[in-house]
Amino acid sequence: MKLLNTLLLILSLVSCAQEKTDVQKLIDLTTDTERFEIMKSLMLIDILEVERDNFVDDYDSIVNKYYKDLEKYYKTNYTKEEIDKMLEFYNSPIGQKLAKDQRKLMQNALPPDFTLQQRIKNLKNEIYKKA
Amino acid sequence: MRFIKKHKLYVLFLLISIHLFAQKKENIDDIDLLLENLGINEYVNLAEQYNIKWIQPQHEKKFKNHFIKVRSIYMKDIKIFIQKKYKKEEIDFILKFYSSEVGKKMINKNSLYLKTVMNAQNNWAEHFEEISSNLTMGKYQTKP
Repeated sequence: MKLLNTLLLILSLVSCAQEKTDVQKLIDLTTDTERFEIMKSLMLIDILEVERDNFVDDYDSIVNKYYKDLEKYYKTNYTKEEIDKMLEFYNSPIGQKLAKDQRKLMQNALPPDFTLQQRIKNLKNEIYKKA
Repeated sequence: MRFIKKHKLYVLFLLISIHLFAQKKENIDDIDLLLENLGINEYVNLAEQYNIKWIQPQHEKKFKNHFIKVRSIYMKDIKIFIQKKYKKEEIDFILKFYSSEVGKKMINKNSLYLKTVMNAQNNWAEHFEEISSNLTMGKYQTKP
């Protein structure tokens, strides 16, 4: 039953994705929005039926807020034609490859073996250890 | 002329080396340009600014001084990462996009873009904490 629910949820998310605007598509390509949906699906597996609606309302509202913040940035700074050109670039195979790395950078996951945040953490430890 | 004839193998080797060195240098320069276009420096600046907020004031100067070295090594590592992962043709393609009108505009707005994304991500994480806490406290079990 849980599996069926998860599958239905993923299908509904996919159909929602089809209705996305160009700016939202650009946000999906350049930032890691996929994790929002994955996290939601995983959390829904363990949530009680009675909690589901309230949780989904709150969760969707914070994801919408994320999109709105970035949509505001794009709409304030770029024209429709410029958004189209960005989408064209990020939809090309090389653009997709770059976007994947840009998403990782924003998740602080580059370079994979030793990220900037890890280096900063080590530096802080070193400073506090000496103090 | 006689020297060249006598040592033509060495001259050939030297010319090939110079050519290969020039190619490698050109490639490295392109990677530098790519990192600049992607706003990696701005990204590191923001990370520094963000982390300074959480440093005790008496350690701030030390952190800033040591961060210079961290930045330098990180930039080198990112450069190596890009160099290994992207072919010359791919870098050329990306640089071509960044030299277009919209690409140039993106470069100019890198700092604002990174701040906007980081703020949006932080806001999301903050609200996510609230939601997780609501779940733990059983707040979603009753209608608001």
